[in-house]
Amino acid sequence: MRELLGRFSRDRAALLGLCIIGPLVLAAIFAQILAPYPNDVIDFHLERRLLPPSADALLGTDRMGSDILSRLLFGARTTLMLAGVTVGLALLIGVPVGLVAGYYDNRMSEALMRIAEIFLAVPQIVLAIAIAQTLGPSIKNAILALTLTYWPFWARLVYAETRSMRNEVFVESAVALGASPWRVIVLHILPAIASPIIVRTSIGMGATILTAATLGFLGLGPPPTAPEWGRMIAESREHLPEAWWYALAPGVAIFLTVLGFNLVGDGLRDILDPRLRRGP
Amino acid sequence: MTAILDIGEFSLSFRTATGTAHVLDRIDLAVRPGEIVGLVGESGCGKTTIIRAILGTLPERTAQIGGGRILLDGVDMIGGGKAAQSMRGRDVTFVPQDPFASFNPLFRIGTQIRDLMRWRAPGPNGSRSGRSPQIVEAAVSAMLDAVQLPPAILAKYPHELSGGQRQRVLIAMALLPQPRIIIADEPTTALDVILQAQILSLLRRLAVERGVSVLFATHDLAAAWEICDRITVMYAGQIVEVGPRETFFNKPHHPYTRMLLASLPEPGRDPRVIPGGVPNPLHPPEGCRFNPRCPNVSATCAETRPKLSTAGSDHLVACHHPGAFDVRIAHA
Amino acid sequence: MNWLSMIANRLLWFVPTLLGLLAIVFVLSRVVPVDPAHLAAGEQASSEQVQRVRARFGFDKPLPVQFINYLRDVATGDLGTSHYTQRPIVDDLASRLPATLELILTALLLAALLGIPLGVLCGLYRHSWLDHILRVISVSGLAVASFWLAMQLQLLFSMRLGWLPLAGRIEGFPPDMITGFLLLDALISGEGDLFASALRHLALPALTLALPAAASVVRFMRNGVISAIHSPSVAYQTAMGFPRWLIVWKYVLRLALSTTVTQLGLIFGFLLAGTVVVETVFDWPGLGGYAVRSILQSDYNAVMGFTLCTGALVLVINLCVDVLQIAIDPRGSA
Repeated sequence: MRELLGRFSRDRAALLGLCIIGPLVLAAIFAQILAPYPNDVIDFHLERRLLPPSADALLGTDRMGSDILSRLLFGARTTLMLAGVTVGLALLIGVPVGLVAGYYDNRMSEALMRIAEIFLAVPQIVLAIAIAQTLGPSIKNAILALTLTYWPFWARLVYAETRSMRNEVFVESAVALGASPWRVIVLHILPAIASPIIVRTSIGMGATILTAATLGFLGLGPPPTAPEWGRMIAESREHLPEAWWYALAPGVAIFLTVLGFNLVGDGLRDILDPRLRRGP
Repeated sequence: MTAILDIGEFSLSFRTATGTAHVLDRIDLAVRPGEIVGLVGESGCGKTTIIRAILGTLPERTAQIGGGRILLDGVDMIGGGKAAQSMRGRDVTFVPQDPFASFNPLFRIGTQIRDLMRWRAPGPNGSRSGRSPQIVEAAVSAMLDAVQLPPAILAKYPHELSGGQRQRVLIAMALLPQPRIIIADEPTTALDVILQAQILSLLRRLAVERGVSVLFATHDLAAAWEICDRITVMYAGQIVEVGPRETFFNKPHHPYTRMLLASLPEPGRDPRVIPGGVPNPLHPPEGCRFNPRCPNVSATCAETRPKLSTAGSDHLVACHHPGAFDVRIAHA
Repeated sequence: MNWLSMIANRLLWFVPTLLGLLAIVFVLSRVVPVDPAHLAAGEQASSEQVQRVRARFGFDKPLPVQFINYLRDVATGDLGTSHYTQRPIVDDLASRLPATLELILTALLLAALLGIPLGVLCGLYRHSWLDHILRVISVSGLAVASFWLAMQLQLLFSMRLGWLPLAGRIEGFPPDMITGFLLLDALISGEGDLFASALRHLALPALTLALPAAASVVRFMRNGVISAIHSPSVAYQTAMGFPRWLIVWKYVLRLALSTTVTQLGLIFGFLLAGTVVVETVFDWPGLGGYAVRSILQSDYNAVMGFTLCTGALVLVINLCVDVLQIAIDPRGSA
């Protein structure tokens, strides 16, 4: 474990990722304290609309006269919560489905993987838009739409990994010793395939944040009053090219967040997956 | 007679995460024209490292040459000079260990052979120009015939050939440039026993017919017995004994060689295991590297490294107390 | 023989997969709070008119029956009519498919032209400054939200510099429809101005779409080259004195390409998903923008049609990738 931590801390890219995600999480938690104008999430001041960055409003103000930095910080809360819950739920569905379908070799496992493939047959974003539109714009519905479109990724990954584990000696010997299927799956297979799941989870966070922002951009994410980065960018469109700062901040925020999760995911892969470890 | 391959006092180490691994310690090795020399030792003793040094395939970032020389027909092979590079694939060729992975799986056998001919093989008078495609094709099919393969394999992909066929192709490719010496790195370990014998006798016959020298690295004493004229034994990065095949097998001098021979299964006798393990190259023993396992060890052995010295006609041994004990008694 | 059965297997699974997908979208379209009969009848329709429409389109029948009816229509090539454009959906899709394909193929070409050489260079000169810089760029390329990148490109190249048009596919009347690809059609009809206009309109959307794809091509090629360079076959060829350029640009390149081609289906899916956003921002008259607009308008016949169309497109691409893989790797490992 210490060796793993050591290797992680020597991976500069992964450390950079952590240095992005750490402050971001703090910003999301303490948005209320950090934001210069915490009330601007709801309040608007039309007399202050579309002001360029200044000492007063570090990142400028938006079309309602709200402070962009304040909305950005609360947006971090929305984004992280949305992506975190989505990935958690997708794992909760996808991992058991993948484990069961991978361990057993019968009609049910075939059917489960076919269902997963149906969901993977069109671009995920289209499915997410369609579901979100059907349910109406709200954070809960965005989470539901994203979960429904993302669980098959984990199901397929866990399925493939479980399949390759099933013929490993330690699994076969556990079966031969009379361990129940549940015991084998939970105690033997799941720990053995944890690394790829962890790596994918970090990278999946990045992908989910991008899709969630896209939903927001198309007006299908959280409702208009909630601060959300994708929607902020959409709002800025009609004020280009004058209000160049309007889209800049949320765009950079999305970029850095996704970058952070991707870097950590890459670092974790280098550490956890010996097949991809860097040679001399 | 001057040696075609002349390695003298050659030392090499690898930088690793945990320190410097002293893999080769002042190696002396010579191969004379037309001679087949066996380089025998356990896995990890440094055979492959010597070969990679000759062929220029050492990992650049970690390998550190500590000194000494590798001369091939008088040309310095260390340091990747142009002259050395132009020797490779012409004057010195290679039969690798793994016939399965040594071909590029995406190209036909014929493509890979023709690229070798195009860029490496000599023309009619040893020059590289003036080779017509017909002459190339004729040379290739004659060589395939010599290694007992049909010309049809040229159109095949590597995965369509058996292990034995692939090893024959590799031998053909080693012979096609008409080299002075072939370096063979355990060429038959990936094959089954019957095929091994066939391939080895084929290699010996073709080399002898053409007067090509062979440096044959192996961990298999029986294989060395089958095809070699002279045998060199390595232990943990040091040369311990060099001798002609007959006297080597009948009158070994070095304790390691004797114990190695005694470890072979033989009718009427149990094979004997050499006690102890191969030393860690990060911290090799001082003096003779075999001293911690040697039944015959004295204080000198752990201090000074014994020099290769004459122990009979054309027979050299690096030991302070050669031939001073009987293996059977030592094991009893 | 092996690969024929593989293709047959793919085709065999295609129909149930597509049916499942249509069923999902169909159920979605019928749980919408919006009454489809209302939409079809129009805003000012009286309740009697709505009733009549409901009966005529079979909206009063049970859901499974409606679904079967829909499938029967699909089998005869009738995907229904769009509530929004008031045109047969088949026509809508047919007129938009070439625009999307032109965009995707251009982006794919760009991604290959940028990604393959850069990826090879990164793999060859691992740990060099070029490798480090490109690693940063390629990791970044995968982290940018494409709608934001699109807007920034518009801001710079259209609004500030005025070099390229803001949106759309062409200025003036398009050339005679031959292939549906405006670039090709303009070339064939010899209309230089139209060709230039089409190219200028294509530049920004294709670039936006290509960037993340190029980033992943760089990564695949880099890893492919690195693993190929460390393969025993390259060690053998080096030992045999093959010239370095021959080893790299013939043998290593092919090995790296063969691993990258296996990812082509993935990259294509990536691009297809990207069109949804890129076409919306650049007002590109293709399938992606059509899908978004149909969904936002609750135009579910159109959504089903789009689903069918992309599902088929993905299948065709996957088949092409399979065939390409067999062509490039004789081992034919499935």
